[in-house]
Amino acid sequence: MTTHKIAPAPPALTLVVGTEELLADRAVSLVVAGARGMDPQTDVRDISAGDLTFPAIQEFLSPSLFSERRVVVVRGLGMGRAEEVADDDDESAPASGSLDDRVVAALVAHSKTDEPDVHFVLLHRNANSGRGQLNALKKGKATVTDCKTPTRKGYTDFVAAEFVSLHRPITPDVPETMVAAAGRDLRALAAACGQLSADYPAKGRLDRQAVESFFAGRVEVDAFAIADAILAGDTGKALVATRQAIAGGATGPAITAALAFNFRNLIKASSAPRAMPLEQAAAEVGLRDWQLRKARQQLTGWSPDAVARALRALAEADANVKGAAVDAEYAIELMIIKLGRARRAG
Amino acid sequence: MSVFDGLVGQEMAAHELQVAVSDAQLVLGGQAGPAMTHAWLFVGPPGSGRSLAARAFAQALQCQEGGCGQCKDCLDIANRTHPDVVMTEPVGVHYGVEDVRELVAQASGSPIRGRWRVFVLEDADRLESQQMDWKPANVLLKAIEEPAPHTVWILCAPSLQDVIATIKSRCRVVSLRTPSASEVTEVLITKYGAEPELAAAAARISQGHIGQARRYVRDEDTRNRHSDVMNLPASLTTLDACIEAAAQFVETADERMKDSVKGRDTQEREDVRQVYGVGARGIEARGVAKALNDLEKTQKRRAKRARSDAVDLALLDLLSFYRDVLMVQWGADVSLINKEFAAQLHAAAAGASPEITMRRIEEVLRTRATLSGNAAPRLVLEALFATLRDPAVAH
Repeated sequence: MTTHKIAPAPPALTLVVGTEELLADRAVSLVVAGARGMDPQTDVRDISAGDLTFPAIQEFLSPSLFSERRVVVVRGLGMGRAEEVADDDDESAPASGSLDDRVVAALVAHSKTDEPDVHFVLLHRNANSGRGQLNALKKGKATVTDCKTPTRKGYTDFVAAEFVSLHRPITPDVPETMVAAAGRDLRALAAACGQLSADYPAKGRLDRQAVESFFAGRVEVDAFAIADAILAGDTGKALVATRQAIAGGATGPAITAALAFNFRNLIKASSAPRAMPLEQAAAEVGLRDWQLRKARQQLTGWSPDAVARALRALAEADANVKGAAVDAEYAIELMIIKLGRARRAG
Repeated sequence: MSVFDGLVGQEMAAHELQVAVSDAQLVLGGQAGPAMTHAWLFVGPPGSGRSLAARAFAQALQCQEGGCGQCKDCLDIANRTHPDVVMTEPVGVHYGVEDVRELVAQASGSPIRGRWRVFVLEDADRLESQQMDWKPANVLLKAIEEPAPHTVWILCAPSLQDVIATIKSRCRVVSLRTPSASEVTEVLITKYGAEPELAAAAARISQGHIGQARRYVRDEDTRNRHSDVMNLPASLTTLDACIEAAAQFVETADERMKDSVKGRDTQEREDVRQVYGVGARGIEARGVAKALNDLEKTQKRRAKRARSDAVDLALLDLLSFYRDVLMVQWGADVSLINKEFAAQLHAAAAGASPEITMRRIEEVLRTRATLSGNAAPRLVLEALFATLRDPAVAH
């Protein structure tokens, strides 16, 4: 995706801090676009932190014969030792994710240049070990771009901002729906925003219906959706939900734990006194009142023996997904089928 | 008084070891001593006193009197402070390769104070693990085969089958047997001053495991935990009771685990900080985060093992309960392990057929196997109790 706006003149030193790749890439292309706007012949160099030695930076900073403009992108800063090659026994060698002190000093000095013809972009992952260096780099006049992984609200804000930059008006419920459907992945969200605004006619506001038909019912599924389907006795739906949950990154242990939690609630609900008011009965068995109300609905169709069989299937699956079986996904699917059978057997 | 007197019901083994000790004397004098060798494998069921026997042998080797139990050497070994006697047990479920390498490095030295360097490896069956490609055991091989002149290895394991063949073939085997109930009872009375009746019950319930029998006699919590298990089967009437009991079971195991590691964890953390000089002015504590991290991992492994051991002990109690129920149902003329709980046993026997009891026993055994893996203990116990409630659901 390209930005059509005219990019501002880039600063001498940009620090891109964080791990969210999409945002980092955009920060880099903003600088490159800015430099190219001033000089279409701009030379872009992409190097790793280990290659930015003191001689190298002196070469970058020395005046060029043809006064050409340069962008130097430095990747892999602030990674910390743990992320590098593990068997590095030489404790005294600096981590490759950090810079020589002289290089840092040169960068700080350069960041104060008024009309630079070399623009540095440093991609810093901001792991614990690199923090000191980051603070040293900030001492000059560097521009800092924050690329840390957003919070939940951050994702919806991102979607809203994305449509603004695409000049597409949307209804307020669109960002929420998009995050629910595409998941917490900025790249996927950005791609979906671009696709949506290209696919739907430019007139009027983009609404929730458009988003839903675009994703065709693919809404992020978590382990609790599987539990709901199983407890309602819908094995088919539960299997579909399982596949979606696994595709969405849910792990086997998370699924068995969520199911076990739901079955425990079911058992607690079965012993809750019926004659009492809901809140009181819920407190009696250690549930919230909405949990008790829901579990009571689910109880129809589950005999005690069926629940006992379900517990057996769950325990077996839990052992399987934690290493007792070769294929954890199959173990989960087998469990879903067994749970369905347990209910039918009554 | 000899250190070998403390071994209950092991006259054969004690005799063999005493002969070895006197031949060891000859070896030190430069003569041939065929009864002494450099690698020993002590095998015997849990509770037969493998580690006690290993300790007694180490004392007898170091002591001028052949194991008096009174001299500085003997006492230091008993306190685990003797520089020439190293007793190790796996920190987690298995020995790590690094742990064994360190032992091997230590074993190449000469004795510092004593006459021999003795290395005792408890739970030597945990040397081999397929996940680690048998590495810990392989690291040990060479050291056991050709040790330094005065190094002695003593490996302890439940049975010969539990030790990898290459190790087994390099060791001389000493077999220990499970002491009989009357032998255990006598020790509890004479050595620990237990009431005869309590001692007899402890000997029966612990099934010849002296350490557990002693705990039963001395510690009221242990007795309460046992009677809780005896009352458990009758309480499993509804699923609600089952999940309640499972939660209780795990909680009890957690408490036992905390008791066994409490204090030790914090102390170890403090030690590490002190070694690295954390908090001292002007010292940059480099590497301390990594050291603390490693320590925490070790402690977690240890806690996990302590917890699963506690659950397993309770399941063994449960197993003895159903065994007794089966004896009652068959009218077999054998003594009951849990005689004190006759009421519970007879009630359970009347409420089920022997077939159902057999299925229950099978379930408990299966659960023990499952719990040796990674499954969540609470969930596995819930499934077990729900099945014990009515074994028909297993089919």
